[in-house]
Amino acid sequence: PLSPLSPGSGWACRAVLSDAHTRTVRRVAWSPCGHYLASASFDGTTCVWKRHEDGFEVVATLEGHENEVKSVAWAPSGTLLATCSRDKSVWVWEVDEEEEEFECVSVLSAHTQDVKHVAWHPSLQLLASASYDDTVRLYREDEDDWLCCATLQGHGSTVWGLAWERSGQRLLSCSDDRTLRLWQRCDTQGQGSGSEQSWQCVCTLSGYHGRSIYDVAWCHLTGAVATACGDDAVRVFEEVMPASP
Amino acid sequence: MAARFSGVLQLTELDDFIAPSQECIKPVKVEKTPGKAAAKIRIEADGSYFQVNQDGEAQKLEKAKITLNDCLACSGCITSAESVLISQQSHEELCRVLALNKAAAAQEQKVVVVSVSPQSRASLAARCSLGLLQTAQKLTTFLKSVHYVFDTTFSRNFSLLESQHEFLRRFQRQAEDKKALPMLASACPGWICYAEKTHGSFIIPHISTTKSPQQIMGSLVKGYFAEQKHLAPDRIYHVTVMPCYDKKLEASRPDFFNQEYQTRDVDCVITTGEVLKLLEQEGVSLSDLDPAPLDTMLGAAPELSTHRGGGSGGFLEHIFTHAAQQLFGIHVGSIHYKPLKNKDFQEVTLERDGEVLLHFALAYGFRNIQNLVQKLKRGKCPYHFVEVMACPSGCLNGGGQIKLEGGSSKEELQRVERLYESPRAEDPEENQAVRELCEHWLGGWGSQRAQEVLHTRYHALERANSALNIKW
Repeated sequence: PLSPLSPGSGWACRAVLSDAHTRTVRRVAWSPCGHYLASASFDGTTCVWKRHEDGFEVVATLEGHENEVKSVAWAPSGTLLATCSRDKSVWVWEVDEEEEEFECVSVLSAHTQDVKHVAWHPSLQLLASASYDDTVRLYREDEDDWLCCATLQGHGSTVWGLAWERSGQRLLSCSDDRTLRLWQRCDTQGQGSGSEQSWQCVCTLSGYHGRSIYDVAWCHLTGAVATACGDDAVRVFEEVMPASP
Repeated sequence: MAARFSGVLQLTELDDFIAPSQECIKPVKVEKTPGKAAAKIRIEADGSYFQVNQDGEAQKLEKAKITLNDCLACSGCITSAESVLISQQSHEELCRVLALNKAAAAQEQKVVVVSVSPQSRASLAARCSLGLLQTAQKLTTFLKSVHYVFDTTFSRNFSLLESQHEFLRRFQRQAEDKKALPMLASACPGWICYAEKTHGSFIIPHISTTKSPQQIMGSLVKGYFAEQKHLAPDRIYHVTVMPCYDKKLEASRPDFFNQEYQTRDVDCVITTGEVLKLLEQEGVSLSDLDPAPLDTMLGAAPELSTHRGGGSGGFLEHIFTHAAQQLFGIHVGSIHYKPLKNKDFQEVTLERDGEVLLHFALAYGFRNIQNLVQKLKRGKCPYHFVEVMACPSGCLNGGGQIKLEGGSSKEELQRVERLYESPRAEDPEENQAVRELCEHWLGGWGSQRAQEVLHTRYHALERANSALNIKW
């Protein structure tokens, strides 16, 4: 085994934000600009913290989900936030930057079970969600509301995590069914009059994981994919390019 | 099944995995004598439970019972109870009741009254490609095995007028009563159930206590109409035709149950879609029927009328116009709605010399209700009155309306809207029949009877928060 990469000089705990949530904090996410931190909790709320010189302050508490919030994600634009919950819904929130106020823009109830994760497309206003109902769903804005524009079926069990490729062309999902699935859009832009987009599973990685795969991360610098698995291992995958003829 | 109730109602704690004993918010009271020590429970072969005390004495335990109404209000484990409700109040049930009624002895027979909402009528008209009046008349013919077919536009007059009065009272006491304003509309049961369950005692003081047109119709049919016909209220079977399923829940509220006569003000709610099913079942096409003259509760009704202000009843419009006149002496000709973040959230303002006198809003759909309630909680709600409806685009787009084929859903809705708005718009204050009924039967707007007939109350639902409720 390689020797560990140069160790940092250590980590210091700068803040303990313990008064905002009354139950497990399940997910945290930094805003693209770095000034805000969102925390999603089983208490049904999502707090948005503003970073100051000397600490963090709650600038907004997003309420409305009926029960445990499982995930929160900032859109790359920084003005939208998505949350998802065991109440089967995905909420899209918009921030009014001046007022530092968040308003609910849409409540999407496309999933039929607990929604575990939400992930924004790296550049478009396209949102993906993963659920206990074994599907991944995609949402986009349509006039003054949002709608579900695609349902990705194929996994045989709960989809726990999602990761977009840097270019946004493809999406990876990991599941309790011990597989990774790679999805790609297959209809050309502007084809068809309906709001539905067509996505296909172009690759399924099975047989590598011994247990449920809880998370997947796709490095936007190197293209490498890492997975977190219930079999106590971290795996790293790389796309093998076909040899040139 | 769950998809049929409004989005607002659906989002309240529906989960297929909860064990009823954990999530049920209706603790059942069972008569038990308190024991000194722990007892053992023995289950017999036939499934009955016996509590065995320390001295060996066995006591049969009563089965815990929860009524359907309790279940529905809770939604804790509604998934299976829903289907029971839907079948209990459906067109099949109506057919069953009508058949039974026909076969019953004369003194047992009930007078069946059907009250049709204008939204349902517009939806049927669009589907059958008929004009509104024709639809009303042919529907009257179709329902001929019932005795009377009324229009809830009539009872809506009372709802609108009383809401106007209530608003003025609240506006005038806002200095002493911090909870008087904003006043929130109460005609939508999806909104009411959500408010009671999720925000409880915080929001209830803001909700208008004026009953919805459906329930005022119930009170009028089982009260005024029954008296006119010399019938006891329980001799009338009152059916309403509504654009959504949430209205079924409203009809079954205990507050709308007449204890004295053991009868509900509205016995059965069927949706527009269910009326269509009835037509299809009978193999009847509405357009083929002959028109019949329309029934009225009192007075002659030569033609259909409607109210201004949109397909959800026009509460904002009527309260605004009335308040502007009564409080500030300003006559409002037409109202200008300013859309905000989305088309289901709109504002209306009355200004004079740069000062805002009245600030009202429409908030339809769950996301807007969310934002409204959050603003209220933070003390940042600038409105005096909000017309709250659970369904995006309002009642004309209710979950029980008929889905038309062909064309986009937007076009369909516009067609229904045009039909809905086609009759002459009437000012409730100018309706002779309303005035007569109010004077002679209610005894005036401020009377005791008016209070009973036109107002209701709400109940916050407390939820038990325990660690058992967590789903990891």
